[in-house]
Amino acid sequence: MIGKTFPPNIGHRKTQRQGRIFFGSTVLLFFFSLTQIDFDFSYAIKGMDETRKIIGELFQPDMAAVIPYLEGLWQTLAIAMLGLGFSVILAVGLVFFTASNTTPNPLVSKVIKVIMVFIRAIPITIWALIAAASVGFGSLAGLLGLLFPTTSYLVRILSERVEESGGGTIEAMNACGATWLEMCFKGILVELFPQFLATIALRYELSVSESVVLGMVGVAGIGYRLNMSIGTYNFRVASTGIIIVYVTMLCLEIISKKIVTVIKGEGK
Amino acid sequence: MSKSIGRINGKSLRMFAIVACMVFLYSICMVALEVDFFELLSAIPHFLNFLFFKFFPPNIASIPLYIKPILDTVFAAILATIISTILATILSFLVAKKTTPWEPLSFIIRAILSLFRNVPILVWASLLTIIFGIGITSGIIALIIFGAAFLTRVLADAIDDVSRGVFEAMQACGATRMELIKHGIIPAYMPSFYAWMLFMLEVNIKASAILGLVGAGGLGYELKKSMDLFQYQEACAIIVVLILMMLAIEFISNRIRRNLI
Amino acid sequence: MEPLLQMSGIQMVYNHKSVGLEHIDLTVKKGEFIVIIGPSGAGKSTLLRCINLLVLPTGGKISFLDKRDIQELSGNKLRQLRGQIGMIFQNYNLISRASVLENVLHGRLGHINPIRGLFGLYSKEDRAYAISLLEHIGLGDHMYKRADELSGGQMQRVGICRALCQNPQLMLADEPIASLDPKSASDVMNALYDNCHEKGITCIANLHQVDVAKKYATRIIGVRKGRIVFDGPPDTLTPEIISKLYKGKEENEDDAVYTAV
Repeated sequence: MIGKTFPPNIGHRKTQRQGRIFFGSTVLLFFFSLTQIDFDFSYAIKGMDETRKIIGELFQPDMAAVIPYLEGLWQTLAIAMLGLGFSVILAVGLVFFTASNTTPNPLVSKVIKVIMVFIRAIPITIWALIAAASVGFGSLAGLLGLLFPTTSYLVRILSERVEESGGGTIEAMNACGATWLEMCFKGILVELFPQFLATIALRYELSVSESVVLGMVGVAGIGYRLNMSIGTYNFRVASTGIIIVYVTMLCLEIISKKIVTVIKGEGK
Repeated sequence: MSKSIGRINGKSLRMFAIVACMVFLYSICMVALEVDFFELLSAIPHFLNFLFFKFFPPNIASIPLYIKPILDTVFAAILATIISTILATILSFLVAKKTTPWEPLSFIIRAILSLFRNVPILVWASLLTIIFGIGITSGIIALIIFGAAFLTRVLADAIDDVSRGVFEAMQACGATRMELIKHGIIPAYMPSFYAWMLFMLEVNIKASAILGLVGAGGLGYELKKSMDLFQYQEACAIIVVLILMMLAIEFISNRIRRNLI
Repeated sequence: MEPLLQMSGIQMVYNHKSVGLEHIDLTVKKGEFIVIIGPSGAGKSTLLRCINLLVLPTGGKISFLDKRDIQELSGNKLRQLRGQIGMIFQNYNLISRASVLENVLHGRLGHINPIRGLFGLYSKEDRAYAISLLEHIGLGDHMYKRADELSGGQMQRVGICRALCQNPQLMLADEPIASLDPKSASDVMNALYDNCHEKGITCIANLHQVDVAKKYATRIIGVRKGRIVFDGPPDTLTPEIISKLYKGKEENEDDAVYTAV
């Protein structure tokens, strides 16, 4: 049964073929993309000395800039918290219409889901830019910008949770003769509260990250100040900002991990 | 009616406490941002009004103009994904607890990559445009840096997830470390590898689209230009193209996923 | 006659606190089929893994064939040692996504040049040998199937072939039939016994099924709380000794060696 190829094939044909197709197409795509992109390193090469100076400055953070950055950080965290908070309120309002096992009308559920997909297809920065165009740059634009995608994300995740785990509660509540509202808020919401809370708490990390990014496109907060410093070639100050952002995100990551361990520990 | 379901009472109390805390937190934030709840509420209809009347309808005629930026965006993402995957694959073996040749090395690499991973990619893109100039080159490098950092972490986790049994069996056969990696670990983690690489591609395409907002090329750059010039119908057209591209990518990647795993 | 394996004073202490193996003295002669029995947690698996150094004992000496102090070996010498000791596991520990034939050939990795091993370039003789082993055990038709397409009993027999492919002097079997139904279990035990007997391979197996142990063993060793408390031919293993061996852990009794009344 040894094939005539060299070296003779000893492996599982299908799995190997799969692997070969994957890597083959990757290599092809790689070289093809290479030809399509116009790389331009001339700028970098011309500015080699500049670059060296910049990198040098980046390693010398300017301590005086810490205070203004912390103000900005506070704004950013607040925008993320509020944005998330309002999204939670909206999402909780929508989720029971979206989950297929609690919705009063299946069509409504499908329509909401489709709208959510479209909302999520638009990157959050673009939402913020549109918001800024309508109400001006500032915290309000940031909030509006965060509101839509975050709500959409929450509705999707929470409705999935309800669809997965809500069944038993729904039956129980219906058997007791509860009204639809009672079933949703006194039944499912209470039952799934820990899960909901965990999802929301974990999402905060992402919201802060988004909030920083929104700041960079002009909204407000630490991202805004960071963008300003980079734009004005003030790299020592920018370096301070990067470090503050990094430390913040790192703390949030650690907290999120702790939350995940607690959840896994309690189990359900 | 619900009072007869006893355990809900205890939970209700906890719920109430948590909700109260949150209301308190919100109030602080409101004060800090000087934004009023009602201001926000009234802003929403204003915003929607703007969205539907000033933004729509998209300027369909100019859509063909954006084909090149879209292709730039996609190819940049593909390139960045492949390069960062190669880097990440090598680094992940140095970082994973089960295969690292030297513990401190794993820690050092993880610390450095954590910096690139936790700071939003737009920050790096912005810095890179200063060094490499406006254009897609900065975007690709930013994507590679962020992508390598992220992928190394998840691939290292995938390596550590490979069961001890595989290690024991290969060691019992007398395999070298490299043989263990090639014949034992890699086959075991391929499903995760495929999944993460595809995921990274999706993430990169979305990121690539917006990196242009700070000047790193692609569709984002066109968008910024039109927004700055208040050409909202143009911007709308670009966004429509963007949405279509995202949906197409999601569709394609779902098909690939189903076939591979 | 020089014993095949000699363990003296083997100790395994975890974290300066809990003791896995207290004091193990064991001499194994060539050709024996030893079965180790005892309650779970007694240290049977640890004992087995000390032999091919998957677990490094914290104290004591082991000599194998003509090599003294093998517990000090590392690197290439360790690989060569392991190449001479085959092992099969309770969970089979096959590479699921690889074919049956590839899995068996992994047994050669301890004997061939690392570069060839890395690329899976086995010689014609190696391949022929692997195929003959599979055919002899009755799995010739499954050679090119993916390992995870097989049943438990079949997978374990592939594991046996992999170990045999090493041309080992000693075969270690850690609870080989724990996860199998009675028919597959008997297929596996027969395959193990027959192959070891035909090829003159010494075998040490962990089993918790005492009746199976009695059926195949030339010598039975009872391990309890990290010590050997019985060592003798199967017909001297009385029910009293068996019940003392497996008695509940709350009871405190002296760990003197149990001899037949």
